[in-house]
Amino acid sequence: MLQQDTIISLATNAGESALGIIRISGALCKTLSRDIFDTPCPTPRQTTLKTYRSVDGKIIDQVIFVYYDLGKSFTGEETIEITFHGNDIIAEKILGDLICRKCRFAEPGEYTKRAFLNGKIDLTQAESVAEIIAAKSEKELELAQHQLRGGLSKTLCNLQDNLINLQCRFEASIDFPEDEIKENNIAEIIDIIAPIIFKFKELIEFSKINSVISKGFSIALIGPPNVGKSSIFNNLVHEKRAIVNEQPGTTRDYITKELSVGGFRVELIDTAGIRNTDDILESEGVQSSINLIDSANIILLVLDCSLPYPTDFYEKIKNTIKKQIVIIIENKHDLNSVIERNNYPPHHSVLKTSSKNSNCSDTIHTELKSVLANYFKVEESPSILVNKRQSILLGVSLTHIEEVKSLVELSSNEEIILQELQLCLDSLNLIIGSKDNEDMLDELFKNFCIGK
Amino acid sequence: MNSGLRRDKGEPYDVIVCGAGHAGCEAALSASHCNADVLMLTGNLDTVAQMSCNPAIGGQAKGQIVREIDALGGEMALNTDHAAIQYKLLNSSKGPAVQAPRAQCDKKVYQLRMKHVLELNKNISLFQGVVTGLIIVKGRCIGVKTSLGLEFYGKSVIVTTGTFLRALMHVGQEKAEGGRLGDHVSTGLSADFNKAGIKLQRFKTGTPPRLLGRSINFDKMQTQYGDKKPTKFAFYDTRVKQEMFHVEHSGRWFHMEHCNENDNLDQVTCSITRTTSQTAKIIQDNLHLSPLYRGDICGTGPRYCPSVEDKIVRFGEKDGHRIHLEPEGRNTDEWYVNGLSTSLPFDIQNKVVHSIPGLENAIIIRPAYAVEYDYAIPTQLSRSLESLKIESLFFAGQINGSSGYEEAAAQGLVAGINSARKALGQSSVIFGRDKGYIGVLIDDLVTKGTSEPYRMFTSRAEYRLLFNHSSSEIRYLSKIKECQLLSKSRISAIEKKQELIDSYINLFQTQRTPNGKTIADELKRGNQDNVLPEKFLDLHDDIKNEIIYQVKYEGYLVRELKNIEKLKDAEKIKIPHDFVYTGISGLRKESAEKLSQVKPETLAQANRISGVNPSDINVLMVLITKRN
Repeated sequence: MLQQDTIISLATNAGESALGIIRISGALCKTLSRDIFDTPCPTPRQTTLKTYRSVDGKIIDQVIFVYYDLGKSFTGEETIEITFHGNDIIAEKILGDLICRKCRFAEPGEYTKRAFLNGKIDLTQAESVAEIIAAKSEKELELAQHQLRGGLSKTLCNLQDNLINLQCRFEASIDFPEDEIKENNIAEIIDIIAPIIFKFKELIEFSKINSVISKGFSIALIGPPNVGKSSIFNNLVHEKRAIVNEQPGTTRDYITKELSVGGFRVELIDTAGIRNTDDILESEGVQSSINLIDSANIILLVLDCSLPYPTDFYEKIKNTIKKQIVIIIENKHDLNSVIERNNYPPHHSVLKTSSKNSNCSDTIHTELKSVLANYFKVEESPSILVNKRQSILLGVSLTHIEEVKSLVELSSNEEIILQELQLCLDSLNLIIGSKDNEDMLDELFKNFCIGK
Repeated sequence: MNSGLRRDKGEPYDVIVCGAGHAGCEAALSASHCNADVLMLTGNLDTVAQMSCNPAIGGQAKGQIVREIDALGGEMALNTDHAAIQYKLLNSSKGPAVQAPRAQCDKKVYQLRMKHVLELNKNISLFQGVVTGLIIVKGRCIGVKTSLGLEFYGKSVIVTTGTFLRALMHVGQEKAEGGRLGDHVSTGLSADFNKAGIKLQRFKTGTPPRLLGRSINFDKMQTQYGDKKPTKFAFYDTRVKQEMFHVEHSGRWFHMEHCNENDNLDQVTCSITRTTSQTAKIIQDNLHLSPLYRGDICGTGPRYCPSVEDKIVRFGEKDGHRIHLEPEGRNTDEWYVNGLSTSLPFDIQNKVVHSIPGLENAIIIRPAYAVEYDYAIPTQLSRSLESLKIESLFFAGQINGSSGYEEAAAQGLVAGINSARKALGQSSVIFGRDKGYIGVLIDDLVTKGTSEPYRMFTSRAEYRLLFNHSSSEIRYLSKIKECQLLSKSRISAIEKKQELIDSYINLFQTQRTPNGKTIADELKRGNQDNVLPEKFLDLHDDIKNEIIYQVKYEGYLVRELKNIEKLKDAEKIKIPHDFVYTGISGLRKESAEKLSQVKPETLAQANRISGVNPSDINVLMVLITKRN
């Protein structure tokens, strides 16, 4: 509703094109141009190739960036369009980064509304603009309801209830100091907050699973140089399996292909070999491989079993391997195996292959199929789907509830804790609709006997 | 200036105030401060400013309201300070934003002093007469009719009839008409409101029995003392002496102990006891006799002030419920039994009282009762508290569905100012929710309405952290100046206070201590000793506390201020009063209905109406822009 906010949205549909566009409109555009692209005074309407770096300095993607001047854009406000490589994970990262930089998601029809309010759309069209806004909201609502009908709605409502419950414990002690309200015990409150934090984290995890189901699972082939990654990649891709889409990395040092494994759409990524290097170009490739490991669901870690375990390689990647499923492929098994298995990172399984032997891809394929089938079977709540917008809002809530926890641990004043708690709720309310102070009071009077 | 009563249609009063309770008194006084010529009508001159229920002013959120009333030129704070017999600062162990002053008062002193303040005000004519009807011509209220068949004319009329509209009292199955035990009922007005299309609804409230002190065994109870250092309600640092004593120093001597800011009066004590399992049993056994549980009472009662039978039914006997015994004054032995509100029959009330430790032999000298009354749905008002249906007719106090002396007084003050401005041809003044509790109170009532008697809670204020009680004068400074609500000398004293605070905040943020940190940093880390400049330590306590608060909690306060800035943008977009909501494609029907009823004045207000969603607001924004 607020005019001074800078709004963002994904202008293209997720997963349907090779390129995606994110549109930013509002007063922050110049600041963003300076901070992200190091271009304080962008030339209007000129396309520039830039590296998108997030707030914490990580490279997200190579993007095309266009700036539109005040009064010369669709909305009439300063506008930036960022064209990135069509990939949900990249989209999510850029959007998330923009939220960190104080932008917010546009409401349905908000671009049209701003265009109207800034005189870019004729006054006589006001009624139809109003209708567009209403219709888009309707559609959004329908979509949300459709999605929320499932487990998500219940989970989020529970979270909301738990937060309101927490709220009334603090509010009761502030507003009814002379009624016999039991003093809030830190340990007890932490016991209430901990599962809430856990739930937020779990939901944000679900959002990753969701992007997997709608877009495909991402599998990264990694390893030191010259261990046979590319041969394995070619074997996996070129035999029998249908190629969904081929997308050579024009500016990047890796190749991705989409293929189907046991009915699951997966994206197979061949990365640059990872090693210590002084070459600037190569080290950029190495960095991008490491980023790919970070966002992958499954890692196929390829090693040359005829060589000793590459410790320098492992040092570089060990912090990136967290929750991914790691399958170790001991390649070149036709040669003499000398590798030390004790040094392997935590892994799911070890496969022995030789890329000279054409059935190596069968072994890997079978393993992947069983891993995928298992992965989706164990997932208890496949009906819980969290989209990008929701997951980012949940992330905001998570930050605030974690802050609540530390304030409670520091025995801060209730009114300060409540301000933080409200911010947590505000963000959650944007997903499932507001509950107001009346709801909190209902809960309070239900739980506490107030009567002085 | 007036001489004698005027009943001439051609020479109307500027403002007629119907009722002399807490809303009526502040309404008449604030209208008079705005130079209006005021007629004040009351059914009974002996009950002016009567504290009908508990003998205390202030408390959580309410104490803050009283200090805001003082900032805006109202009388409640000074009157409380003069009638106080015990002071207590609630939440003193919590942060400044949620600390609230409260005072037990001598009820009679409170009444007498307020009456005297009214009597000596040259702009106010006081007259005893029950208002029986309104004179409405072409959608505009021009006067009132009273019990003796008299008619009075006024350019503005304020209705502050409290719980007296079609009031019905219950004690067991016994019913009696009247808004307070021993008082009258007002029926004519309800009919006139109906005729004018003003919708009424019913609420219920109750009061506990009063006991004779000499029949109470206080030894069996826990004693509650007042604070050693009282927190007073009025601002003394910005007043000159004449402004501290409105009646005590005037022509006629008013008999009362003078109360200076630093006077530590001899405070009374209160006592605490608890209900027992026997109390619970008596209530359970006689529940069928309670009009509440028999279904005789249809009005909705307040959840924060339940009757004792409600507490037992809903929360069981636990280890008993706390009961406070509070004196009604220094010159009476009547005691108020806080926590024992009930509508059970008198005999059962006796049994209930006697089941409580210390009250075994207590004598009830005034029975408890419940009262049902009409209130006018407050969403039919604008934020100046003028009716949306009838021009020049204002409503304030319990008739708007609120509860509490402080909430009533605050509305009286706002209605008084606006009715006077209307009569004198000036524009209305809105007190926004970003300024303080008074703004929240008015905005909540007229925008959201209320489903139970409305009491203020700090949780209702989204910018609570900014509303610490001692900053009231500074928060309202712009309004005070806009309407000239205070004397020139007090306004300039407040301005000086603000400059002083700002300069110290600036100093604390820049000046460094020997270890290289700013004073502000030290304060934020909780180091207060040895870092404060000597000159600062000599300042008035209120000012010192305000500076330390603002510096220490800066980060949290800045967040609140940012949110206020956001609100302001939407608050700037005005919705024309005659805006038609029906038939707009894109606006949902439920929203259109709610909007038509509340008639929000700005887009921000529209956004606060429950059930109106963000897309409705966007649609509205577009259409309003087109009209402008």
